[in-house]
Amino acid sequence: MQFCDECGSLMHAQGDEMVCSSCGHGVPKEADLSEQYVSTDAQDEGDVIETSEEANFEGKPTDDDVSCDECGNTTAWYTIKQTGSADEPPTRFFKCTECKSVRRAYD
Amino acid sequence: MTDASDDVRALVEDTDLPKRLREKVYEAVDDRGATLDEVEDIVSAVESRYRDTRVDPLDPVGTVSAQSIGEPGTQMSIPADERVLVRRDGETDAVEIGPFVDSLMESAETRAFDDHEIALAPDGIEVPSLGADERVRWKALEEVSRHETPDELLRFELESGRTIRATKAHSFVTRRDNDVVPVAGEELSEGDWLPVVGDLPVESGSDTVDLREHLPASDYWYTSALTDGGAATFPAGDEQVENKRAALEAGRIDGGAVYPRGGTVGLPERLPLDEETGFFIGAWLAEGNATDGYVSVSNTDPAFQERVRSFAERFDLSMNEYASDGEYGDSYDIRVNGTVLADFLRTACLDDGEKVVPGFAFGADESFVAGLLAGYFGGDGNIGRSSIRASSTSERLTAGVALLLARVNVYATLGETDGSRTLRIPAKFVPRFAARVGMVGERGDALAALADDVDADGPDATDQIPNFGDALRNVASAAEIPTRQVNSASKRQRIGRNRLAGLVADAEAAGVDSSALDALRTAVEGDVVWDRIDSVETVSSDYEYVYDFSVAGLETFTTAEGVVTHNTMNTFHYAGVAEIDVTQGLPRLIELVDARKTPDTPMMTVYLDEEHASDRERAHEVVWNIESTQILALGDVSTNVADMLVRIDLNEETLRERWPTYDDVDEIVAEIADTIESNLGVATSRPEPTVVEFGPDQPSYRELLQLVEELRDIVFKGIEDITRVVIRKEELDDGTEEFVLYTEGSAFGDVLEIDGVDPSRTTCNNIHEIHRELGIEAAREALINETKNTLEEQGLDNVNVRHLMLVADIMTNRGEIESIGRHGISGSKESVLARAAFEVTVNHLLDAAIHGEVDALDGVTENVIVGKPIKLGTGDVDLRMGSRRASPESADD
Repeated sequence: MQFCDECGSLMHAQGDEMVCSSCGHGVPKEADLSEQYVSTDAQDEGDVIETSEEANFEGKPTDDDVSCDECGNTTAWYTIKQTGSADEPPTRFFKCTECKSVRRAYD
Repeated sequence: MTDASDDVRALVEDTDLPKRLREKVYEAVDDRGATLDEVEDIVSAVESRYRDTRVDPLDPVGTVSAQSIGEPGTQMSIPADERVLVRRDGETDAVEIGPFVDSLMESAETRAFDDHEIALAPDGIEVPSLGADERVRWKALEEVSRHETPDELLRFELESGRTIRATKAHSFVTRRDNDVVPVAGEELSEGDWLPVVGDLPVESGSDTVDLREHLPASDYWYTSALTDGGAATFPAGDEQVENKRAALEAGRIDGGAVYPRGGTVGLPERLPLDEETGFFIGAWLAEGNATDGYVSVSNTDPAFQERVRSFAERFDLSMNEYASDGEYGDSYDIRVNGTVLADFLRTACLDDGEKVVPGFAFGADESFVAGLLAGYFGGDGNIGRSSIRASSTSERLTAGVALLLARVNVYATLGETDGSRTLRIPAKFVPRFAARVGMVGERGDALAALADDVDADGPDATDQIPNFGDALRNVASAAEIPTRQVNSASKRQRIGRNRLAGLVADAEAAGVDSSALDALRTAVEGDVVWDRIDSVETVSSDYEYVYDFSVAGLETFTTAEGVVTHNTMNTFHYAGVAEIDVTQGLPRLIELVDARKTPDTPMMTVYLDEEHASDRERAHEVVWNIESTQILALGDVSTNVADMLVRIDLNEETLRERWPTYDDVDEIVAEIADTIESNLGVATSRPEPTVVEFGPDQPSYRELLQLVEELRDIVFKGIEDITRVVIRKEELDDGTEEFVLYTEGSAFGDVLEIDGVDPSRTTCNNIHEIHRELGIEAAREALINETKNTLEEQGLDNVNVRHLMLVADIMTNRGEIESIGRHGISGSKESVLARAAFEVTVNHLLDAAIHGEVDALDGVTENVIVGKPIKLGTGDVDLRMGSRRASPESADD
């Protein structure tokens, strides 16, 4: 952004000169400065995201002490939410790794 | 099991050698009839050798390690002492991954994720990487990581003799269904195929090597440092430096050279890497020795000796020659004098006493590589009946030579006999070797003879293409090649590369053009040779960490044995983004029951029709038709304040990808320019084929920036409301898989019409949209499904569906979707009292009073208010006592 020495407003290019838009003052272009006047937003490199059925729960912690009511599998992902009052323990939601059914447990 | 005495057995069992080695020990002991002491020696020697090879395997096999995206911190890496090929600013080397990554981590910022430490790799580091098109290219290294070594590692030994060790979860790439896909190490077993680099391309190899990298300036005189005026280290004090300067000016020593302390015989600082120097180094690797002050090469072939002499003469090094008749026959030694040369060879080509291929050779100019191979095979090579063999006691040397052969596109197998490692170039590659490398002297003639003899296009057991699925059969039937020719290959799922190349050529000549043929062609032209796994065993590592690379693209890098491994690294900056966030639980239930016009997280589940659901490319086509494409996805946007121009640099690859039906990129760019013109109202210009430029009419800063803002919002392709689309591969009930699209954003009506979408299964979570497109009954069904799913997700799966059906029925009874609350059903009751009792009491009572409304007392609420029995059950009937009117007599009679 080059500013006019005379009046201080923004200058723009006109041919090989930088010309002030309000007072008409002209200055020859300087090549090395012209890079400063360009700002670039790079391309957003994102490809189609391909995921699998497990991806939602991938990496979430699993518990091995449980058994699913539907299919008997002993591994489940668990999340903990405070669904009850603050003086009650949080509810544990267990999602079976096999049949994906959800079971609640609170004490 | 051979019968060995109990003492021997006790000794052997005490070690931690694997079973097959123990067997070998028993055999050896038996063969030699060894005494107990000898057995002890044998056992301890075997054990230490085994440990050595376990700890320092450097088999330069290009196992391309694959990288997995979005996986959590499961442990997938290779042990510290595996060597990998890296190139840094043009200098190639085969480094141990452990120290390499450790040094990068010390100097860079590390992040911790799970128990991985990850650091960004500095710019300029490249590794040979396998792409999906089976080509090997040098790709930039993005990140490096390490984590603690797990207890067990897997060690794969391939049929070619190459080995690689990795963690169980480390993924490799293999060939399945005609595709190169990642696969976890623990899923691989004997008979599976791993890729090995067959052709390692280096566009412009380095043609000199800087001796400064190998001989430190503190011990040697670099004459360029005397004159260039910069700060430098010298082996001696200022007085000596002055003397050297004087000598330089007097011409007693040369500029740009390296000299030892107190010597005037040196080498150029930048040693040229060409055929001649290559030959010498190769020759030395085969049959050379080096000590203080000189190196010697021994060979009786006159042509060979001439080459050695010409090297020495070129660099002005004096020689001494010795001929002798030893007990093993004639030998002829040429001794080349020169401390610098000796020290250089000892530093670059020796490691731990073993000869190795110097790191810079892998990235050197092709003539150097050819020269080195010619020298090496000229010295140690043997021309067999159908192959070329070489052997050495140095494992790293044979492995390094095998990888170097990949530079000239020659594939070699490794083996072991009698304690030394052998390298074998099979018949198929002999002519190529002869053409690109060649040998001198007698062996040269034998080589030429063999090359002529050999049938390079004949059947070949070492270079097979595996797992091409039905592609071969399809192509064969399309080209009308008789099926019996391809049947056995199709059944065994492997075919020799030559044979496949021939079939591909036939198919092309017959005019076949299909994706199956393209896939086969990719396999034939690929830069990798597929190697079968011979054995898999679990081993452990003594090092603290295991390491991994993260490479752009298909995420593969190459170990120093040429085995290609998949870089499994948790690029967690993707993880979590793959899932679409939908409102759940109570808020969602409220949305449904309140019949909100637009849910908080609109989402669509788009199923594809048969044609598009099985093919990834077709599925992607549908994605681009649905997802709204904005300008930043298509190219870079630059704002030039001086010239008052906005310049869009479109990426040709992206354009072709997103508009697959267009052949000409020009058309696409024209369309984009038109869209911009119509949306923004400015004229655009195209200074280059993929560049669109425009600017405001007046040179106004404000207008320019406003244009840029408006540009960001323009949708070029796809439906505007759909912000993101995710593909998922799901399994159907019959076991087949299909691609399903999940979108963030909902435009149900528009999506149903898109080509490739299966409108009979596609759904969305916006009930009103379903009502608009598919009618009220569909909306009722959708309501039931949504509520049921919401409850089930919270673990409340024992709410009986009929309750939900009742709610849905009531909400949709009048043909519209009404909410339960005061704006819907509860507010449209006829009874004043019922409405007043529900919400906004006073307003209803007031209005009713003003208009003189009457409450019929039909419903439950109002009857409870006035205290009457409700008109259900008992109150459903009006009871009358008595029957007809009696005669008009008074009741008193």
